Amino acid sequence: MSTTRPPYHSTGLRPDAERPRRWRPDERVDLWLLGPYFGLHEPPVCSLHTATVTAAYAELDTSRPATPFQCHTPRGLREAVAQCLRWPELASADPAALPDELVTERWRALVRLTEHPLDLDLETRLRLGTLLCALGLDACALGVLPASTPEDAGRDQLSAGLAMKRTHALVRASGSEAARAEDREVLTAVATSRRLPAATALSAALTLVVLNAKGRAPDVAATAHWREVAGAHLAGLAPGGSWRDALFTSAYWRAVSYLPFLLGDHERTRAELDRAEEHARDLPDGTEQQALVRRQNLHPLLETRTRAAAAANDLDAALRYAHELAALDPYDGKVLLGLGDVAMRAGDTAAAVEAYRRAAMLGAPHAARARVALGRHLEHAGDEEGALDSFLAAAHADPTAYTAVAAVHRLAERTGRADLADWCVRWLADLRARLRVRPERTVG
Amino acid sequence: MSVSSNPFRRMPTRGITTAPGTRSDLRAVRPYVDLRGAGGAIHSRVLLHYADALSSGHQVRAVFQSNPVAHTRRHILREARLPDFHADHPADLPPELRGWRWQDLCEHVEHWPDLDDDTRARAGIVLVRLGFYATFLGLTGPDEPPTAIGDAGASLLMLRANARYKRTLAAGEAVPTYESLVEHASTARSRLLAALALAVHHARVSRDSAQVDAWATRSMDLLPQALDGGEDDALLHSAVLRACSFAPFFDGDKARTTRLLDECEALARSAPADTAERALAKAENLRAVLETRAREAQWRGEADLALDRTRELVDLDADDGRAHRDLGYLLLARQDVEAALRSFARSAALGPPFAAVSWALVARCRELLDDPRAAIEAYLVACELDPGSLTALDGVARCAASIGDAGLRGWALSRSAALPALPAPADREKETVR
Repeated sequence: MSTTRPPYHSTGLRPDAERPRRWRPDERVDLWLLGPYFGLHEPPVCSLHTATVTAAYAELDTSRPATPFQCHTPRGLREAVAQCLRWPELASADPAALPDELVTERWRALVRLTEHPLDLDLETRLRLGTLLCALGLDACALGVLPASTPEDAGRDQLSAGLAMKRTHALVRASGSEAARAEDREVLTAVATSRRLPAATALSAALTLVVLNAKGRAPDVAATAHWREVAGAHLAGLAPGGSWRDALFTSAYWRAVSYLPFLLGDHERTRAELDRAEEHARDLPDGTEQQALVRRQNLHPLLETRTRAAAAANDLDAALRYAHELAALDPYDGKVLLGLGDVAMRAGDTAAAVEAYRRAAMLGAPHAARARVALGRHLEHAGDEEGALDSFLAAAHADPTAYTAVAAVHRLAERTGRADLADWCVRWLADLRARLRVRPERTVG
Repeated sequence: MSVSSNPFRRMPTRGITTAPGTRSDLRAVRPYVDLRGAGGAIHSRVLLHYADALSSGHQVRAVFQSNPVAHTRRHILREARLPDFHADHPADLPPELRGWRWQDLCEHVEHWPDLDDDTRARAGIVLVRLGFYATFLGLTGPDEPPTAIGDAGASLLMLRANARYKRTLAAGEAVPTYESLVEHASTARSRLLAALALAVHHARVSRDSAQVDAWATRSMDLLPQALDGGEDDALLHSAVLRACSFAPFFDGDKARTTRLLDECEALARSAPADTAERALAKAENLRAVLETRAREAQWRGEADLALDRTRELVDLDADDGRAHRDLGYLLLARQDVEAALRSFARSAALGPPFAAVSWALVARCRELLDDPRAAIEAYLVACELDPGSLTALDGVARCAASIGDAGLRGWALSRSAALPALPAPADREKETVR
């Protein structure tokens, strides 16, 4: 009395199979792709921001030249992954607390270094701080990087690097206004120092351009001021200089284009981004380091170009840039979400669905958002059952996926799935009890 | 608070992320995790019913037949990635993770010597359903000679035999106890239940048609004495007829199999459901009957009838992932891939212990529908749930190759290569998630 069933083979179905446990580093594709963050594993492919971790670890060897990294750890990455994998220990700010199953010899070496920072020379402390910040272990980086004053920061290149890295870590670790103020003081000291190399001062000035231009209340006057300061430093770079100078030139045009963007001058924004792109594409890729920097520099540039084109309502160009970025960094779920959003806006539903699918496929921390986007698309197309599955998968991919649960509730009520509607209500009640918050209105 | 905002982002997440209540995929089997929850699959509700009866001191009179696969709880925890809930003994579960029923169970275990046999039998059923075979066997001590043993004592001995079998999966482990009970239990009801267990055991485990026939005949002989004219007779009679139908099935006698199952089904439908306990027992029995009848129809080549019966089963036990998965199998066999996909997706959403298999089946359907990217997404979920899934890893490698993703294909191939070899096909039977 049997039917033909597709076979299912697994080593996990043995009666004597091991007790429940978390994952080993290569057992799920997201943990594998993010392996450098959680144990300094070395996957053969990864996103460009993850590649920063691997390179920063290699550069603990101070005989190697330091790479001017252009892709940085997304803030809160460790917490988001810990949340999505329901593995709270992954969010620990203490590298020694990494779960045993993920620890490698490289990670043990890192932990040993963080235990005795005073035994290290300043250059190694800077490299170690860079690595810890790349890992998202900002609080730990603060224990490694020496305290300094803004005056110290303007003294020499190493002091400037240490001070900027320290206040950067401080902002990310605490997020307080005081930390932001200290960070700006240090950046100002470096950007206005006459004792530092032009490239170092330029880097600080460009950071100040971006800090003033971004956020909910951009400061146009300050953006213009620091653009001017950065321009003066750019002029101080040696003509026909090294590939690093070409990189700084590209970074300059990308950063300063914020000003015309804020002023609504799309034409000038495009022209300045053209210049950034021209320099970016001219960067050499002859060495491993150059190849990484070239790709890392193209990443934020293409991201900026996508946004600028979309803001100018040039959706064809936006989609072109977004596709190029996805090809450049195919293992970054956020990039694919961006592509999906632009494609959806441009009306290219097939491309959007493909991008969201790939983002979902890459797993934490972006899978939940990708599945919500897919769910919305399916709901809009009238496939309520498919949408419900997608929203449920999103709620599974992120246990705090409030939007997904709200959508499950809405569709469960509409399709008569009382079991799911009931679960949504209990989900909310459970979380509200934990959080002790009183919502203004209920889901649905 | 707006619906689109997420107020939980800034909150400490430990409790939230690990709490089983926040997981939709655990709602059907939550009782196995910590004896919390309500509703769910019928077998989960039976477990809750026994746990409630243990806490309240109420006797369970109805005949419940479901017998969860060995180590169901462990499999659920493994697939759900809930290592904090792993326990080799009920008291190993940290107090903060226990539901109140679990706490009651611990107290009963602690005061085992003071319990009467009825209470021990109820506690034993909860322990064995939760997979605490060693705990239960340790509490009940060595088997006593089953002479003139009462219903509660017989129930405990049958449970011990079941626990020994579940612990070792050695085919003959339970047989001698059941055979002794058929001879020595003091009531016809207990003798019948033992004979019934033997018929089912030989049908499912040893697949020995002569033994099935012998114990089915013995069950039918014992039935008249076991029926007491009470409310549970129809259900008991139905259960016996279902077990008896295995004998003509093994002999290839389709007409007799169908005749027995017709009567079995009529009795199952006529069973009273006037109390919560009887309603649950009726649903549990009807579920088993419909499952057998769907297989019977399939065997007879009546595919539409098999589908109708499976659909009724799914309606009856809508929170059981296995029911949806089995409906998907039937639909897939009929080449109705889109409908099969919906059933497998429903099964996958219902979570452990069938989630990994179901996600792999969702992926397979998406592959058949020529959507390799969507297939990879589903295969990867199967891999997360069951890192040992060769089927899912093969699927990832195959689909990644078809879309030209060398990185992902490389991951899948290296993962497959790192897994231990599967045992020989003859031994795989035991591994199948039924």
